[in-house]
Amino acid sequence: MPQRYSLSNTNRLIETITTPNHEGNFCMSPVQNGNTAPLARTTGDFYVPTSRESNTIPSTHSIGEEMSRSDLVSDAASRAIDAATAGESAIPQSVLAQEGNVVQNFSSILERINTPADINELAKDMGNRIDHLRSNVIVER
Amino acid sequence: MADVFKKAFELLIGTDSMSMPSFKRPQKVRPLRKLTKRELIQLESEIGAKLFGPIPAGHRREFFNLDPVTWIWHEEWTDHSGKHRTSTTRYEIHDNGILKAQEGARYNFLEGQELENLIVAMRIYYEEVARNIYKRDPQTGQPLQSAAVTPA
Repeated sequence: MPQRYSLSNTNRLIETITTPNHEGNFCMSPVQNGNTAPLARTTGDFYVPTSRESNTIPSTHSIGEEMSRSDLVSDAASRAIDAATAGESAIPQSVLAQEGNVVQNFSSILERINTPADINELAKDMGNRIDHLRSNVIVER
Repeated sequence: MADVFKKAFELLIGTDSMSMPSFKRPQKVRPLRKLTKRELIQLESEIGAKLFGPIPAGHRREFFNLDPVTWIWHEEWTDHSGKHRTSTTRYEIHDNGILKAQEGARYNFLEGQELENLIVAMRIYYEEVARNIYKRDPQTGQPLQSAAVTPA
């Protein structure tokens, strides 16, 4: 059954996601609470977090600031989508034809996320699931 | 002569017909509107941006799933000279690996720890948006029991 989600609830959503639970951990997935939160620098490089960083879901703004920030973020997201779409055909086939080295640390990630699937299939699966969620949702404005 | 025409007209369509017909305005309801994919991505990106720890002051960050095989990392900031900078990184899932594509024609297939972190990030992203935006259990895909679901 399609569901509705109010855009006006976005701020409440953000507040929920950044609110620690009774254990002092933020209300994130077990993976995140398991001290394995991935961090990324501004270059888009994913790297291993320090122990201090790894459980931190930042609250970068107060409640009163959320609306204006939300608007700005939406603009930024829109630009990001445009930029991403514009670069769609920028990758030469010769690059795509390279042999990938994706499976070197395969076993550790599979162990961590507890799935027998191939790592690419896993990534595709996440994308497909999100696509499915999007195609079924109805959001109230 | 004019009276004749008037009477004939009234006979044909009735005496009340000269008044303006009262069209009933359709009741202004606000039907549920299906959000565009772009709008849903914006909602998701609010969550995605927060998955990676502190955002540097003055930066704006986006991380989202663009389509089933593409993930985007986007950052905007103002550099020391006051110039607005943007950086967009695409992660594309190909049969032979996950390709990282950045500006300046830099491409490489992810490997090692970076690949692992990206996969974990995808997983967390999915779990968070499933629960907090779509109100679905990420494992089963079923509606969360606590979700206030209203039929469309």
